[in-house]
Amino acid sequence: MKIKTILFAFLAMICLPVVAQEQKMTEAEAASFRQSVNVVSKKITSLATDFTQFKHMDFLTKDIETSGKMFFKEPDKLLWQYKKPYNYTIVFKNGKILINDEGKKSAMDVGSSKIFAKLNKLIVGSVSGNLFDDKEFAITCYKGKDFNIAKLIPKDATLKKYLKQIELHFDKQEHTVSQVRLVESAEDYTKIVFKNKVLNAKVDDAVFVN
Amino acid sequence: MPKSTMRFLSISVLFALVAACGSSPVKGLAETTVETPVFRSTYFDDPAADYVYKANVTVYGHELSGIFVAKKKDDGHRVVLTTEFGNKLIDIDLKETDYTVNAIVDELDRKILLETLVADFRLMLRKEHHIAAQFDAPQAKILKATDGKKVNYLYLSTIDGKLLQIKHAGKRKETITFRFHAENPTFAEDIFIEHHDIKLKMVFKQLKNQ
Repeated sequence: MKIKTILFAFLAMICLPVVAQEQKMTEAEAASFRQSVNVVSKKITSLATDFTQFKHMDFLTKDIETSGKMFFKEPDKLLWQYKKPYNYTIVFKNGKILINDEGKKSAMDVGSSKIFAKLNKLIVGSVSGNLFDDKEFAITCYKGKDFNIAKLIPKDATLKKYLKQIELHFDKQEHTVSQVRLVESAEDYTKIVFKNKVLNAKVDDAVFVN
Repeated sequence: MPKSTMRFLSISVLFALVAACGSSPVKGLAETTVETPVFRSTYFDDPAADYVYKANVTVYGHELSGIFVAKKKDDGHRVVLTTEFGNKLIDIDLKETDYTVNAIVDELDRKILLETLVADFRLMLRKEHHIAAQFDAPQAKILKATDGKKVNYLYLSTIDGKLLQIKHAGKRKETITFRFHAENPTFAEDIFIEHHDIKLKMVFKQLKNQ
């Protein structure tokens, strides 16, 4: 009898509808959330953070993990410095992309590549939370346990070829971006997690070099 | 110096150069009995392994870098090259006689470039080489394998039998060199591919996934 009860309880548990981890926001909730994010992102003059990046492709046994530091200074200076497992720095500054690949330096104009120009704007926007542009993206907002989530589907044909969706996870208290997911397809995405964020500290222009 | 002598010298020098370029990698070496009719490379042979490399490609002065991934499948390999940010540059299913492009960025979607990359990756990843002849060299055993109308010379270490080099050659001369550095026989930590007839070089360094 006891075993039957336990079995019944177990079966009942697994048959119950699973509570969704994310719940779509109502229009009012979404408007309020976006407003909070916009207020905070307008106040961000600089950002320094550690990041860990996970490249997921379904056919891999393990996600490819890289990590480093990122610096942002308004309006659009961005330095992305990979430290593990290789040294690679990319700087977006004054319409140029500066690269240092294990000591080998190179530079190119952002405008020389359409996709680079789009990605530049996307990455800067993702980091600062300043990406809520309804002309560029179809945006839906969700509330999760630990984060509020904005899912952005590109409208631009060039960007759409490379990215199916961008997900921004916002800290519920700070309304800053804690995680970015760049989804290329159902099987492939890149997840970037930010930790030890420091907002609005003094960041010298000298940081943004390769 | 008389004009006729100058012309004779120029032709002689030119002939010597052509002869040098046209010399077979096994010229002057003693041919021996073929020990095994099939050489099996184990560098990309484990379906459980993710073969992940930091890649640098130099083509006619242009640099391209990113992450190269290969995964063994039943009938070939899945090969993907991404940027350091994780965006896919090229994604192909590669078989011995065919390939399928799953994704490719516009900048790489050029027939000649794509077919060159496919041919190089195919030879780098090839498991079985059918041996037609064998030669002894001072620090290597050289196996000659036919490859359609071309020939591959496989250089094996005399100490541990590991594959050190592949020289891909036409009738007259070597056109591509593949060099492998491997501490153990199942994963080449460093791979270097150099074309001698076009300005294309590729360097792959194992990425130790964290």
